Amino acid sequence: MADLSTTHESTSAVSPTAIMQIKNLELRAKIVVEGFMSGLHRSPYHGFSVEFTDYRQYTIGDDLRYLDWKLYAKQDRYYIKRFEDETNLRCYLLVDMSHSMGFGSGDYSKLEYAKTMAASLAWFLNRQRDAVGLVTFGDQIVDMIPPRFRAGHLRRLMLTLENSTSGKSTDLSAPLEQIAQTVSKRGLVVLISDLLAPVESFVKNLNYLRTRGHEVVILRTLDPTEIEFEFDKASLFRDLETGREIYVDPQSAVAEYRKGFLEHETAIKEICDQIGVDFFTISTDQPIETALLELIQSRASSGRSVKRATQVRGAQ
Amino acid sequence: MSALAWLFGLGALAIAFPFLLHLIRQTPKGQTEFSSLIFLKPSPPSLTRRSRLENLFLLLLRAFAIGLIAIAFMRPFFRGENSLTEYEVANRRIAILVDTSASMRRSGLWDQAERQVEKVLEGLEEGDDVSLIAFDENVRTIVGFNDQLNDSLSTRADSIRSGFKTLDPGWQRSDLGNAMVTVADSLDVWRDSQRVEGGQATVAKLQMVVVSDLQKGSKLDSLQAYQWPATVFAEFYSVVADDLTNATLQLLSATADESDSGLRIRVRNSEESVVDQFFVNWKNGIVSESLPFFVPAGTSRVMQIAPEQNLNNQVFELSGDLEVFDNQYFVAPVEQQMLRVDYLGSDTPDNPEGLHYYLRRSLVETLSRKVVTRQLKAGDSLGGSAIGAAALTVLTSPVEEVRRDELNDYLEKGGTLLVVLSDAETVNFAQDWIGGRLKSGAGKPRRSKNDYQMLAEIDFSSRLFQLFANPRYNDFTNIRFWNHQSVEILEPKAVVLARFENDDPAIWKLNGSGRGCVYVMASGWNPRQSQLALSTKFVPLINGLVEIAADLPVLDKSYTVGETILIPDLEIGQKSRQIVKPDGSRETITAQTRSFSQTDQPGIYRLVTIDEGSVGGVPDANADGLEKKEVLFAVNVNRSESATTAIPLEQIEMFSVNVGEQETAASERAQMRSMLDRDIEDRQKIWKWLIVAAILLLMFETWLAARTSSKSKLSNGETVAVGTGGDLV
Repeated sequence: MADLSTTHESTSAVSPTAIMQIKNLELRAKIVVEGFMSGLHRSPYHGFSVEFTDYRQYTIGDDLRYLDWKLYAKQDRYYIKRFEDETNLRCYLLVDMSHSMGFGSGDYSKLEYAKTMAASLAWFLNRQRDAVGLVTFGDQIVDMIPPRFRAGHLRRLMLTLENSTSGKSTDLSAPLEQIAQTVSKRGLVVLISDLLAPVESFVKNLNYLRTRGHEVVILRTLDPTEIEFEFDKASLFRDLETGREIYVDPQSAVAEYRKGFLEHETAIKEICDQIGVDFFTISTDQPIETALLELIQSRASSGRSVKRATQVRGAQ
Repeated sequence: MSALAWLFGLGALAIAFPFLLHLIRQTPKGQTEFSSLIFLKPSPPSLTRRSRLENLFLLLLRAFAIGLIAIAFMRPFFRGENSLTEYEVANRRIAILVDTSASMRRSGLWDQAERQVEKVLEGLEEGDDVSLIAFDENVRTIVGFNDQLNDSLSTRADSIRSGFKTLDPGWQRSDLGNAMVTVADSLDVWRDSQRVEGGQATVAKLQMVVVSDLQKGSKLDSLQAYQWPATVFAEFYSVVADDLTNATLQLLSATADESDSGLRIRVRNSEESVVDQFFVNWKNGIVSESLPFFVPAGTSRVMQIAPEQNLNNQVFELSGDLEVFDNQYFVAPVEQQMLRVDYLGSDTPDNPEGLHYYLRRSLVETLSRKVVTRQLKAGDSLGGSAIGAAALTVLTSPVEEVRRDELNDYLEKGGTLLVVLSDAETVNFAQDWIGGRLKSGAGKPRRSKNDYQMLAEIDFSSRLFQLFANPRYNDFTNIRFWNHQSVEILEPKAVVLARFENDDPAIWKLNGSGRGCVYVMASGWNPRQSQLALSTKFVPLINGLVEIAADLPVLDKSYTVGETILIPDLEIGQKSRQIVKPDGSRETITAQTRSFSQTDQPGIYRLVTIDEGSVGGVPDANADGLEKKEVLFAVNVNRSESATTAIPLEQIEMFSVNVGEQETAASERAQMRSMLDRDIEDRQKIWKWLIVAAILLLMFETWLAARTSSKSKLSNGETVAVGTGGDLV
């Protein structure tokens, strides 16, 4: 897993507070992505074309266009060239809209941050001609846009993100299950959520997604206060989702909170490792480009490529 | 020590405020929203309590200052020796008016009335005078003020209670106005008399308490013309019936023709009724014959009901209405009598120039009688058994001499003879009966169109003209007499009932030699002699005469409770009369009595006349050789009693009645005491000194606080707040 704090310092990104001043989500995404692109030397996703992999012996019926005539000249045998085809990526952005995402210790909430992040990812992926879909959910799926790459799709996606209202509580299991069932074509699933729910509630469905062949990346969005629990005054704490109120003295509760939080995070990480899900924790005070960079770097370093659905061009 | 405004003493509670403030367990305030509480556990709330008392002396000073201010606001004063024991306060003189009219018979009203009277008695004070007066159409004192002059309060109340026990709602209509005026007047007169006697001494306050259902039918006319005395206060303790539905019925007058097809009954429903379906039938009749009769609240409907053949059934009954007091309507049975009028004259009945023509047409048939006229021709006998049946014999021209004896015999036996002096011959012929003779020089022919006479002096007290006694009907000036016979009356017993303008007698009456009676008219009624036959007076006049002659009682058939009934004169030969009321009680009517006013209950009354002779009538088996004649008449509850909707009090107030309650002696005393207290306090003005003391105290406290503060600064080198409540840190 990537250490976000180090990458944050290494990039000369725009501060999220400044970004959040911009009202238009599309513009935000554009600024984030363009800033990110300018700092990128080479896009691993850019400039791919048909790439040769190996040969196989010609059989009758194969398309003669793929016959390697040079090799035939050298060896006098018919060989068919096999290529690895670069298809467009299908990416599903899953954005958690539950009440807990409405929390924010600064000027903006986690939800705003998550939306901006999702918009930036969508913009970025769209730019490299990938099909991007969007699913917003609370305890149920709120909006769902299937991945497409066509004119106006990005705009629609942005509008949906902008207008989505928050759901009720965080219940990952139902939306994940629904997505796993409805999305038949394999692709990349980016889950943007605070995951402030019991681990057991979503493990099964994450696994299910994986078994359906999806690549899953979790971008866990958290407010710095949620990580550190820095409160000074004792007061009644109200749960944004359940409305439950308990009296908490931060002085005495902070240690226990941090411990509980860490255990929860560790559990998630362990499970993600087990089932092969990429997991990143992103604090809302970090620049949004970090998320993009982390996503790309981690995927590049892990050796997995986004190339999917190996296909042989030529005669079957 | 006393105070004007004790309530301000509550201000002293402010002393407790700083203590309370610091004893309150402070729970944490504020709420923090957090995304999820899954990693949090509730901490035990840390409660703060600042209960250490410091600078106790300062606190006491401040509390004392607050106390002083609170006391100052209470406006304290020293009462001293000023006492009110000698202060003379007027007591009340209370007249309790209880409505005993028929409408008070409604369900639950009388019990309520008793409770209301009890309420008045409970409010009595020692020294109050009280009396109980019942009223309906009349006002009756049940317990007077003077009946209990020296009694104690409880004895007075008891006598009122026992007085009320003797009362029951009657059947008469309620005349609230008259009752109020009578009582207010007597109270006011008493007050004036007391003033004259007692000089400047305190006179009791006058209070009238009306316990009534204040129904709309109550008469209030008397209040309109009465200047209500300012000293009398009227208070109304109204009683309300449990069921506001009330309907009543009334028989509408019907002609003889109509009565064959059916009687017309009007059913009226009160404004607050909740029921609108009623049945009307003869009492004990077959109910199924009556169809439901829909009368919406506040309206009336007229329906027809089949006439009853059974003469004993004399009551209509309304069913469907729970308030039964006005659900019966009594109808006296009517028996038509056959009467005969004999005509002795030369003119034929079909000659419009003659008298017979008009006489015959004027005798109309009514429900109670049917009249036939017979012209006696030569050979027809006046005597014999037929004579008794001829109620009236009319003589208009000289007849055979034989008739003279027959007529004398007729008069001897009690017949009535009407002599119409249409010409001088008739006067001469009838000279024996008319008690007079022609004046000398009479019989001059009429000279001009304007030469006519009118009736000038009419004796409206006579039985013949009684019908016209009402000023609406007593105008005879449009009847002109062109010709009349100037007769000089010689008989001293003759009673002149009407005279012409020239003082000639026009109509007179004299008793014949026997029991009979002669009426004489100095002019005929045919158009050649006068306009009488063409006037509206002719038909009632002739019919009245027939009824007098036939001795038909001049009784209406229907009266209302409380109405005075004029009773026909006792005829010669009649011994005594009695009125039998519906409950069987009897009232004897003396010969001098001409009216009967004891109609105190609804029902059928019987006027029983006991005759000495045997002229006619039905023999009574119980009578000791005498014979009885009965006339029935019905008495019903006054219709206005059925208007049971309550009158708004504002309507009574419109008559300038002082509606309200006189102050009790105790409350007046209290009021006086408070006025005196205010006066004393105003003179003493203790509150000013208290305020000055409080200010001084606060100045001292400020100085002391400043001193303490500077001392602590010096000793600790830091600031300690000594503001309000700084004594509690």
